[in-house]
Amino acid sequence: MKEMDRYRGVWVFAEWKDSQVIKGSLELLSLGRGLADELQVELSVLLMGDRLGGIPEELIYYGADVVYVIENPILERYTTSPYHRILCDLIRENKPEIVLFSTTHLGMDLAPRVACELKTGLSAHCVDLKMDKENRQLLQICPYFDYMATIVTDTRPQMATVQPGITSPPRRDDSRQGKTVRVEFKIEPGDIKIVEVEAKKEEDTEKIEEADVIVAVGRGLKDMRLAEELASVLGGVLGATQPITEAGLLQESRMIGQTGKIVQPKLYIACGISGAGQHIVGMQNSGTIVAINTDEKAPIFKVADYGIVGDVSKVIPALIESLKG
Amino acid sequence: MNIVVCVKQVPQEIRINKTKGTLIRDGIKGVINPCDKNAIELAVTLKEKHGGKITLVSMGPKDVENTLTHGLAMGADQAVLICDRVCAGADTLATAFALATVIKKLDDVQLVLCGKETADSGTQHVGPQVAHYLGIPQVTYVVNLLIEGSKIRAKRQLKDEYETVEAGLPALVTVVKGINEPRMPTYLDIYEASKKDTHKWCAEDLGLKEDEVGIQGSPTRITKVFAPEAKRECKMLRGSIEDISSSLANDLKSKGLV
Amino acid sequence: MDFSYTKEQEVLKNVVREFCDKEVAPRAAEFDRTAEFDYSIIEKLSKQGLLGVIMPKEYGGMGGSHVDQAIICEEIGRDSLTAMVATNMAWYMAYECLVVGTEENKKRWIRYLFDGKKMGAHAGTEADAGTDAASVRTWAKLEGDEWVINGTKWFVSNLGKADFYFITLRTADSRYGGISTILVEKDTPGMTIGRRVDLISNRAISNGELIFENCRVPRENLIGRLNKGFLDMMVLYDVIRLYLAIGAVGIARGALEESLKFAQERRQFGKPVGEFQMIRAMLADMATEIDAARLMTYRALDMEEKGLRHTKETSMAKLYASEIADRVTYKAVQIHGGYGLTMEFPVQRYWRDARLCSIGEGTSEIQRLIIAAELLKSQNIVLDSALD
Ligand SMILES: Cc1cc2nc3c(=O)[nH]c(=O)nc-3n(C[C@H](O)[C@H](O)[C@H](O)COP(=O)(O)OP(=O)(O)OC[C@H]3O[C@@H](n4cnc5c(N)ncnc54)[C@H](O)[C@@H]3O)c2cc1C
Ligand SMILES: Cc1cc2nc3c(=O)[nH]c(=O)nc-3n(C[C@H](O)[C@H](O)[C@H](O)COP(=O)(O)OP(=O)(O)OC[C@H]3O[C@@H](n4cnc5c(N)ncnc54)[C@H](O)[C@@H]3O)c2cc1C
Repeated sequence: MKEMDRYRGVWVFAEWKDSQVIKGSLELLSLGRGLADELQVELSVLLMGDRLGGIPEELIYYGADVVYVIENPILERYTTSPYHRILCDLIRENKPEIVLFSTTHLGMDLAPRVACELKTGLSAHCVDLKMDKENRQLLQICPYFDYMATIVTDTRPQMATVQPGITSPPRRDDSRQGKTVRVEFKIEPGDIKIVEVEAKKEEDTEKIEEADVIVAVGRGLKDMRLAEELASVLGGVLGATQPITEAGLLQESRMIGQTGKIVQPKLYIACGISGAGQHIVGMQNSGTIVAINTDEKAPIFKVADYGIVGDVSKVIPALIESLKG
Repeated sequence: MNIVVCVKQVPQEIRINKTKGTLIRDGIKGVINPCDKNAIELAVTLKEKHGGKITLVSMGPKDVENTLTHGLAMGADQAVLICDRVCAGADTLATAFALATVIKKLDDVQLVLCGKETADSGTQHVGPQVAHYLGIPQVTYVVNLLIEGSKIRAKRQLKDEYETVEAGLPALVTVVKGINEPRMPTYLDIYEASKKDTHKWCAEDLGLKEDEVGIQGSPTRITKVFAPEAKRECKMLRGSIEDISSSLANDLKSKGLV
Repeated sequence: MDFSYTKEQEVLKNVVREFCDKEVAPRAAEFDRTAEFDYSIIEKLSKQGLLGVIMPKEYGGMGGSHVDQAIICEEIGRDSLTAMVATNMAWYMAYECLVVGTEENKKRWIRYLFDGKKMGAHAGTEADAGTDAASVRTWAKLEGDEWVINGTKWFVSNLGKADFYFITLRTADSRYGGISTILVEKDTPGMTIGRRVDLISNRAISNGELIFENCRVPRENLIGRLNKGFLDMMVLYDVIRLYLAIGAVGIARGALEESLKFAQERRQFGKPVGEFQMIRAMLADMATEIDAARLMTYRALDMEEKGLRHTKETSMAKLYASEIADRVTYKAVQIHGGYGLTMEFPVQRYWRDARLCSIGEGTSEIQRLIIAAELLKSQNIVLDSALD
């Protein structure tokens, strides 16, 4: 038997906050469930922390077959080294073929270090996962500038961090049965000590993640006032691509996409946005998407419901007129 | 205190070959990755306070030398460039391995600084992976860093909160852009910089084997690059601007979105 | 022969670019619209050690090469010719002192004038003395230890903004042998600002009339040798004109870069307009001419560096660079179609600004006269043929 074939099973690393599994982790359960069914293996979830209460059961309701629970006061708040140690040891022992993380600050701190110790590949910011069933190879699909790239890993386990918001959480079914495995570890506090945690003061009072209507601005729009006016007519808020926030035209809190926020408004109007993969991952699940761009080949039209090929600085004023009328 | 800053050269402007979907590097000037400039700035301010020596470490093609000179002009003391055809095509694991190998060869490195991510591929992996190869703690997403004796005190910028942590030295820190405003070197700095040493090392100089670096040392492979498929049926609105906008406005109204 | 930049020059170019991206590019359209330049840019440039780098270290400069200085000028000119002209005016006069000044001049004035803040201006032209610069009628007469100046200057760049003015004027009757340069500091009684001119080119550099009525300045304000001002000016122009040439190269490069971007984005007939051969031909010609102009300018600067005479080479570079800047910016507007004529795109500004290059610091006609005179080895041909 090849070494690779000793690896079986799909694992998801779950994160929680305020006694609740975070949405990104639930989405991983959706993806993980699909992959596990395709490969006909178990879906296991790894849960670490302290005073975890009913979270393990919840994970089963959301689709886990097995939940590995490691509870310890040292794990109450994440620090790299204990989490890293436990995860590496468990993976070595159980040999899952796939391990998924959500693209969060925690996931991005932990996953690379684990992949490094295990000398295996890790793909970043995946927006879709497919399966080459014959080779049991995970097709990890990531934004590649305006395009998409499929990344595969020849070593095991195959590890990926997945963008939040690319799929919906699974349906909760409290009749589902599963196994909870409590693992005992001798845990060292590690080399990092948390001395203070303070909530971020949001200087930006409008939360784009919660808005129903977003008027998003890209490099194709020269006059920010037009977008502001359209947003105010629609009762929406302004969002932006990275180049716009980097140029200081809008606050960083308005950045939508891979390194910014993931939004799902009812209406999303993309003004002069070409639609680089890094942006699309942040907005593609919006309700209705309208795209205005001079280039009819712009990738943004591929995720839009309505497309207008034209100069945004002319289209917006006309649209404002029509909306008012 | 000796500090290493990992510096990647990225194209000044991201331009895509529209038929192949690949990044165009030819004819586009290479510059220091934006966050790495912040890392250099941090190193220089730390050096101003605590003394020591700053070494820039980079892996990339030969022309990275000029980019490194820019970093030297900002105040670093020397640079090391890993430049070898066998290192090309490295994924993050192979990149981190090569960088860590160089860092281990340097004397008494107490602090390694990286950017949070690069502007061209931006995986955010390299920092934590270099830390692992060096066997030292990593502190990521740092917006403020103080050195207190043999410890660092770092403020991490997370989603809804700031977390301040302490870690012993040696350690690796990845910085976010907001940490500082990188200085622009002056004319004299530039001429001083060119007198500083830039060591060019190939894989052999570092004792790196071919299957540890570059494509061979990389467990990930890109098998396909493709244009994203249409996720939705896009209704293209045509006609005069007035017609387009009134029909769109009507549709949005009828869907209750306005 | 070496056509490549040194490592330092590569970095210098990047650093100046970074400076311009932050300080110049975002403001350039505003300078044009409001006809107001922000002179604080000069102080910032000076803090980076990038102002007048060719000035020797002993005079507060960097002792840099002319090519270094040209790299700086081209980069600034790429975003705003106005900004380049304005920043140069903060070191030109000190450079003039260096090249033509007496030892006393240098001691008394260079450090004082070249402090990273003070702006200069040069007033030569008069309403009736343009190309025929030796026909100036503004007079300075020595009374005791003071020069008393009377007359009116015209087309004075930096009018009202400058801290000091270098006035080219008459100190004796002889046509070429009676010209001198005298420095007048701002707020000197007897010097007033007259009519201002509204320009279409480099609008943010204030310009107009400077009037002298019994304006008295100390004797030490004579720059260079008495009555040798015309010759001194010719010597100086051999270098100064090259910096206008490199500014022309910069602005032409800006026009090309904007055109390349536009040609790839704008689609007609189902493809980017950059796919049409006629547009491609324009882009190719633009790039070729820019390169040629830059090389000609560098060649003349290199000759200056080596202490060779380069009057002809300077005039060739100035002539060629300013004329291609006009052609290139014209084509840039053409490539942009109707958008090229809107204020939303910068190419119209480049086109207007570039127009100055073939008029200021000796028109293209004068450059041709100089080149021909050099070729024919005739003496004073420029000046005298005009008088015939
Ligand atoms: C679009 C795209 C997607 C990719 N996805 C993946 C993927 O999913 N998995 C994978 O393994 N590889 C991936 N790669 C390959 C990866 O880009 C390379 O391995 C690269 O050498 C390092 O990764 P990074 O640029 O993402 O660095 P990051 O991890 O984002 O960089 C963080 C910091 O590490 C330091 N650093 C990074 N590279 C260097 C260097 N060459 N020299 C010195 N310091 C450096 C810098 O301080 C930098 O700020 C991808 C490449 C592209 C173009
Ligand atoms: C924006 C701007 C800024 C300026 N700044 C300054 C400044 O700071 N200081 C300063 O002193 N001056 C300045 N000038 C003046 C500038 O140097 C003159 O405009 C220029 O020298 C031409 O002089 P003129 O305008 O009187 O034209 P004229 O000399 O009247 O020329 C008219 C035309 O006749 C041509 N011509 C003249 N003589 C001959 C000849 N012998 N053979 C062939 N053709 C000939 C010219 O080339 C031109 O085409 C500025 C001008 C402008 C527009």
